[in-house]
Amino acid sequence: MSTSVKRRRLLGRFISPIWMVLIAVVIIAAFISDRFLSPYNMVTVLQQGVVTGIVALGMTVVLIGGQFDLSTGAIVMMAAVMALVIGPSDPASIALAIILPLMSGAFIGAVNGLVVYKARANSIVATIGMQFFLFGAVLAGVSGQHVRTDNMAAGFSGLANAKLFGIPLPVYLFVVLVVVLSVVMDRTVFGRHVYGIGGDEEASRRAGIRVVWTGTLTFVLSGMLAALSGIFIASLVGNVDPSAIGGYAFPALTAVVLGGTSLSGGMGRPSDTAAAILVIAVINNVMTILNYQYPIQLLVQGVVLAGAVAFYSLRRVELAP
Amino acid sequence: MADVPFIQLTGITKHFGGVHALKGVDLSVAAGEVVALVGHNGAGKSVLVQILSGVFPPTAGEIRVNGQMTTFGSPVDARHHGIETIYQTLALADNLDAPANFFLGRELKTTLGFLDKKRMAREAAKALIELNPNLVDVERPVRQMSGGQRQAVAIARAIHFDVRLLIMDEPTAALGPHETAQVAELIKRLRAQGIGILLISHDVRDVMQLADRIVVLKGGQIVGSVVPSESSEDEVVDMIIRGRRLPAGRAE
Amino acid sequence: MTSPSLKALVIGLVIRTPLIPLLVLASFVPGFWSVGNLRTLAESVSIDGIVVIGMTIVMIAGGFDLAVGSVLAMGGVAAIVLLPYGLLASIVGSAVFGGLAGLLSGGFVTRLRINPFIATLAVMVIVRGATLAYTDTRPVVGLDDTFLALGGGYPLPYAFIAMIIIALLGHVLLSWRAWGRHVYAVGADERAAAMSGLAVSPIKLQCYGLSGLLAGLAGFLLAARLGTGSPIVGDATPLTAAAAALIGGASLRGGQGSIPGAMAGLLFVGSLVNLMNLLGMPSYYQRMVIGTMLIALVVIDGVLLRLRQR
Ligand SMILES: Nc1ncnc2c1ncn2[C@@H]1O[C@H](COP(=O)(O)OP(=O)(O)OP(=O)(O)O)[C@@H](O)[C@H]1O
Ligand SMILES: [Mg+2]
Repeated sequence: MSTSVKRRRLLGRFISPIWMVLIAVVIIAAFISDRFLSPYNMVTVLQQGVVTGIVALGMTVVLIGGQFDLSTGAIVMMAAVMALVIGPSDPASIALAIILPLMSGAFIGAVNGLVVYKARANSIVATIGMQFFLFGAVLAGVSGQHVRTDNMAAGFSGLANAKLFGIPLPVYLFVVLVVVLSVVMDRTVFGRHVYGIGGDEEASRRAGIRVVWTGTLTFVLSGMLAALSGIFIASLVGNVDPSAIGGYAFPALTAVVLGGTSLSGGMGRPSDTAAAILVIAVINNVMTILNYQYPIQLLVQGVVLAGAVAFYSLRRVELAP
Repeated sequence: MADVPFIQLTGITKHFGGVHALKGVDLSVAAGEVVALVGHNGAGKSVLVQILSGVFPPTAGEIRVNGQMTTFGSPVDARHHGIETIYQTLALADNLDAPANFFLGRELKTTLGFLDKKRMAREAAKALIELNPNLVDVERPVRQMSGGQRQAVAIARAIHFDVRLLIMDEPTAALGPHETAQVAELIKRLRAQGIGILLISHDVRDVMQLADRIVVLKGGQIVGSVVPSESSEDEVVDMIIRGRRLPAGRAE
Repeated sequence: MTSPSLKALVIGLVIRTPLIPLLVLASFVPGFWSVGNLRTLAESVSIDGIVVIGMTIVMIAGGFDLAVGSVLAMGGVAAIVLLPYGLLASIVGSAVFGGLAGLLSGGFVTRLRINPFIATLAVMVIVRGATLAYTDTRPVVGLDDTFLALGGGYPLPYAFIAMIIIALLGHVLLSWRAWGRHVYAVGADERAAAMSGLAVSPIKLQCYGLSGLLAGLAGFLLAARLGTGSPIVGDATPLTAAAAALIGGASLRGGQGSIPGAMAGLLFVGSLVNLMNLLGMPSYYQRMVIGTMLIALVVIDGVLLRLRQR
């Protein structure tokens, strides 16, 4: 008995239910539309998934620590606008257009982290407040105008558009990020401490973990990843309507929750979030193919979030002694 | 007692807003001494424990370790002095397994700087099985463990590292008679190794057997201190309830 | 009898909010004290004010309602769509739709034990998606004289009068009825409330239902004022409402707050926005200010908790 339990646990380590869901969703999608499996469409799915996925990875780490980062949508926008305003036309400005947004994302993450872990503010409301502040600040900065750059260097637009074996670069980067974050969360002291803080903040403090430092770092990571995602958007399309692209936090949160990260912290894996991101990207893609527009997609996402939360919370009630 | 006690508290006071949890407590524990702290619910025992282990600072008062004045800014500071604590609430992260809790905050690392999970699992299992042979499978979240098993994890963690003073806040509260006897054995063994022990308990009978000295706390004040061989269970219970000071000559 | 509520209002106005300095400052802005502008102020706070009342009750019960903004939009659309069936259908319909959305949130929170922020976030998105889908993302227009008249009112807007009446009713409910005591008890310590025999889940469900109902009603009044039901309004509403409730003494940990206090908070936020409008600041700056204010408020909320523990 003990060995079978062990084997099952070993299996569960690598394959969690969300990967099964992903396989199922892909099969269903292939039946619904034969366009779905076309190489061009697959690349589109991956490309869309990756932009939200990078945001979701950061939010996963924050949520494993027991907190929420809902300011990410605004950080994505801020980074995209910054990159375009800098106007990456030569190597020096390309570097600037990458470094400056990343540093700003890190800075905002640090503010979020200190507000949440040092001042003990409720993270949901505080980061929604931050989201509002950033939206206002960026819109004020560009007077509510569209932002575009006319002489984007090939080097910058290549960030998101260049392909290797037919697959865009960000997809590779995303895979690397998932692997690195999985190792960080599973194999390093930092990761272990994040799980500890999410499981029991007070116990972790008593065990000598630097809660404020570690917790703030999770927000810094989340801010930087959101900024990275914004840089990709800037590179991908070359122009941004700042009042229209704020909606990344919600699908990312949906993916994080769908991937099984516990809302009360202490449980979750970056790789499962990646699977969930793909599930959502596939669903959205099929809906687009079937000509269901944004409102329906939004509705479906809300239902998926509620359903996922309900599923996991009911399962947890069952598992509890 | 010629040499200085390992730890000495003088005039420790703690206020939580309007609540005066401790009002000028003096207490000392020497190496190899078992001091029992008894008192009613809400007497202030756990607050004293948390001050001693650096969870929060006292409002006023002095802490001396080996005669040296110190302040504990955090639990890490207390640990550096060899003060380990088993909290009444156990302070385990429910989502982590026993080895992870065991090494929480002082993880073992490989040469590359990654977590050395194998070594941590091995060491934790060894320490745990020594303490509680019924703990077969340690690699599951402590949430799924019984109260006694969780307690074993907390105790094993506290004594595994270089400990000079072990503080136990009701360590036997969740344990059956057999495990309670094991903890008693453990206390005797640690005492023989020269480790000081501050034992908080509601079980006066137990305490009479184990302690070198019993200190009674009531309403945030020490109302008396007795040596078990010179006192009786009834007298201690009386002190806990009435807070009556001992007649002169019998107090230490 | 009115002394505790009066005290909450006065404390809210004078101590917890820098309302007085704000109003003094406002005197230097030409036009602030004009009858026209005061009416504008009353009009602009009244819609949010009705939402604030529901939000405050939910927060006292230890919850939160992020869905009020999209429920407001849905209420407005429902009001216009139901207008052909009569004014009564329009009012009742928007309130009922709002109430149902609130019950959905309440159901998630009580039956499935979902964190209220996430539960109402999901409902917020579901309601927004449904409203956008139903209207095909375009505003719906309604032209009925009585309906449009309800959106006006001089010198006092009808919406403002409605807010005052609802606030009084809500205050009576919270302070004078056993139900109100129960709401505070549930918010302060849910387990203790359950152990002393209170029906915790139904009480919370009622609070969320009420919040949704009021948001729907606010949507009706907004539609009457604008003559259109827009599916995209209200994204700032939950934040404004939360800010007003927090300024008014509510806490994110429940068990605290009052409607008079929240009304004072609302007056502060409303005057601030009004001033910024008078000074010709674009709406982006208002977002920045509201965002900053919210962060500051939750920080204060956290600090207050720690002070109490010290
Ligand atoms: N963090 C805190 N904030 C406010 N008051 C506290 C805090 N911790 C303890 N108290 C108060 O201090 C007093 C002493 O509490 P303490 O936990 O030390 O009692 P105790 O002697 O350990 O009781 P028990 O036998 O029930 O464990 C109590 O009145 C308690 O309410
Ligand atoms: Mg205690």
